[in-house]
Amino acid sequence: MKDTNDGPASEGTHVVTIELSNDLTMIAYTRMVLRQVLPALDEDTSSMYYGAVTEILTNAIEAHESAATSDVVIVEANLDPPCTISVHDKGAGFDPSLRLPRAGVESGMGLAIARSVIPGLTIDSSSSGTSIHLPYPTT
Amino acid sequence: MTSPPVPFAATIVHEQGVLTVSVSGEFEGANVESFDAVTGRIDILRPRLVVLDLASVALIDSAAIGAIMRFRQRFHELETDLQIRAPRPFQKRLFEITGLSHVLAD
Repeated sequence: MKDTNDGPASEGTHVVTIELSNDLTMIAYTRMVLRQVLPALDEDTSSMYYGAVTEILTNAIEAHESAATSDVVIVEANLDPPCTISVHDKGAGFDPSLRLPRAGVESGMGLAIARSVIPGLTIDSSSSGTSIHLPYPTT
Repeated sequence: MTSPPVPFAATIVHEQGVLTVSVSGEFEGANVESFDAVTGRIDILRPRLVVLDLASVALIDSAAIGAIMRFRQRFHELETDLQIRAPRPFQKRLFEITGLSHVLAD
């Protein structure tokens, strides 16, 4: 995990970066770190938001498994308001305009849930990877 | 400081024909195997009613919803009544989003 501050303090961007191995059991650890560094949320908002983060992390790890890559999934938490969590994978990518981009009820449903739960979620995807940006709820 | 999450647990109580499965903590893909292991053979107890209580679950992902639906299907095939209790607002919302709110007990 890295905590970086680029530039002068008044203009700096505080980003915590987590490199996530391709292991589903690491998702709970990642959630715990994110909860520590980002502002506290009420219980229901936290459950919804981090549930959506879990879906995105699961999809990213599964995308790496499908692509048989040893690259790690990168999770960046921008701590400066408005806070954002970004998840970067180097899987095969998908068409973000499709509602259920991956086969299977659970993996395909995950992105649909995340989109429903997090207004403003954005996706950049190409054949060399995907980045998903999840705006943090305002407290 | 944020308090650490409650670990996942699934416990079973069988009383007067009512079998209650209480799940707590964060119910996600990494815990589905544990849920399946705990609940895999409970049909041999021949309950007349099964209650799946999710009230103490702090997080549910789509893999967990998949496990819940497979659990429901098993008892549907056995013609055993099943109630799923998910009273918290985020839980109700998740079941709504996935088009499954009809499976919840009132």
